[in-house]
Amino acid sequence: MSSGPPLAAGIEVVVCLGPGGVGKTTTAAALGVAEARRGRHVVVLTIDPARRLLDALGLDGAADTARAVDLTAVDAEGSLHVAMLDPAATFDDVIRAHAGSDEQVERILANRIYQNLTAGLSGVSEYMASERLRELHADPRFDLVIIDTPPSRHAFDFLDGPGRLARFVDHRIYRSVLAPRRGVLRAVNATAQLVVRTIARVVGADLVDDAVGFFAAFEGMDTGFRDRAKEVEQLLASPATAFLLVGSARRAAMAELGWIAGNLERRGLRPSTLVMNRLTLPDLSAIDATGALPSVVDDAWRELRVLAEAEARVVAEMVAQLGVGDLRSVAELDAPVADLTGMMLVADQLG
Amino acid sequence: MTFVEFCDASRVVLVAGKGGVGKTTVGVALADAAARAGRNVLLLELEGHSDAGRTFGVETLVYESTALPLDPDAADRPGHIDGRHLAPDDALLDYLGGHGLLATAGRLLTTGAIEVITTAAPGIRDLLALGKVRSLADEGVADLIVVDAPASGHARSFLNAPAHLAATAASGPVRQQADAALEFLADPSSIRVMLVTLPEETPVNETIETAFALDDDVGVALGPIVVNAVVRPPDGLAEALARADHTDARVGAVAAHLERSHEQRAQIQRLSGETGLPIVELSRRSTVMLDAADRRALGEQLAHGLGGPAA
Repeated sequence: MSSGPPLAAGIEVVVCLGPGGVGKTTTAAALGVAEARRGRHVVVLTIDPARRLLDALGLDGAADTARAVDLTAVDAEGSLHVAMLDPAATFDDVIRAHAGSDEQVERILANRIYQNLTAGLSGVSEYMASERLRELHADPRFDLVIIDTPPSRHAFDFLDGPGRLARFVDHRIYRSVLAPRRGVLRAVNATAQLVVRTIARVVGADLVDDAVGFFAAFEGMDTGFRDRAKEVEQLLASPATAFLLVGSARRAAMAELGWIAGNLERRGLRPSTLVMNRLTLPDLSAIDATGALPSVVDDAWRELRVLAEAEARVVAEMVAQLGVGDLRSVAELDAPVADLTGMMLVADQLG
Repeated sequence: MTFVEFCDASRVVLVAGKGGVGKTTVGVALADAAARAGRNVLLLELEGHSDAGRTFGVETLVYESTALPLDPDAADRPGHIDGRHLAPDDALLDYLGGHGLLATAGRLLTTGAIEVITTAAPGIRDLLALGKVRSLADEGVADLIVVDAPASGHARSFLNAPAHLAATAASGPVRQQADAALEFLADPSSIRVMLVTLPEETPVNETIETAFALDDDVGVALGPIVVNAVVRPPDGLAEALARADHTDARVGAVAAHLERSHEQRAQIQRLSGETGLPIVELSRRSTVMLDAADRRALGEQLAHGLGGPAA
């Protein structure tokens, strides 16, 4: 087991990845508290924090804007803010900030496809998380952004988000559909029209009209989307970003972790740290097992030991499989984190 | 309701839950139990590759149906289980083929035209996948189709796709698909959703929210909620602990374990109270990969919880 701070100096972004139900958000928040105590100015961007976690941080609700956590009780040199992702609000902000005119803003916000996109269909919140990451990373109040990503598979919508959004408004079909207005060769346009007619047969003409209207509404914003996407992609691929895998020694969680690690690898990214949460007895070997126990207690103890041993094997297997050099083991808590003191119990185990 | 009645109540059971709660395990256990009860089952994997196939000794499920072997000592006349994987583009290509557009489909994919449409209206892939599930049910490919659904935040947008698209497309083929899907989802004899969760605060909150959202926005029938990995301390443990030496680290560990089981109990009660849905509990296991014996044992627990024993 490693000790010392889990984060190397010079890290500006930590991306926490893991399945649902392993305590990922708590880990992100506890890491935020730990780093703030080391003097960093931290903002944790979370997707959907549990009520109790917000209570534990002394926040009476999450907001799109970053809110400061009062850390006087834990004597922190740095600071901690928490921001919750509101995809629709972020998308609206992005449009307002980067559209060429008020008229363009109105046209986009009124488009049915845009409204449908922001109404929570798959993927949009992840595109928006990357826009928020860019903003928070550029914010002079913070020197460390910790992102609590959506569970498992959707984390990769987040990693792919910047590029997808750029491709979306910069698509060659969109450009060829708009070609006549831009004066590109008629021959290109004829092919595009054929494609559009075929799509119309498949999905219906009015949806295509809306889609074309949507792309047209974004005219002139494509360069901005592309530049910002490149910026976020470079940040994520740079040594200033660390990927932290958060898991638990449960079968379902393991399969998800393997899947996540494989996907990171395909993107040329490597996790720096594996946090194993909710371990039954991470310090099993240190327990003195001599002496008699009442039989019911002894039975329960033996069962726990079998579980802990199985977990230890899983953890060892995971470390080998993922090739992660830095392991942080966190014991299962007796009760959910209820306040900053509880948060510190987790933060201390994280190192 | 007996377990057999549960199997026959809906043609499709969609198993949904956050990643990591054991959704695939529950889907596999349900398929196993239903087959032992004599039903022919199709286990359909919708998103990403899970371990569903591997628990039957099949490395990955593919688009074509693969027979998944039950163990040799299965009951006298068990049903069989087939497994299939349905990737988003599979449903799309099927749909284009069904509309006489297979020749164009390749070109639509290579020119990126499909990407434009699916990005602008991302629910289309989900809608077509749901349409594929519906047509498999209509074709009667199995007595019961068990769908390993996308993770639950996504399951919500997955099941909401027809309503969103019906609102976006006023007419045309997408609208027809959306209307048909809405009708399918609203019919409990066609499909029900079985949510899977863990007895912990965040997963329980998320499950309560999902249950209400599915009920309000989609109107799909909800089956019992399956709570996975429930700890069951032996009877009389609290009394025995009261007499034990608490300076012994083992006693401390057991006491903490008992404490957690009480917290689990409280979460299960909250889940039950707030959703009003029946709860089926599966106990926590110490094995890591699901083998045939585990699958069977879990199937039996599930069948027992859902009704009578599987036999």
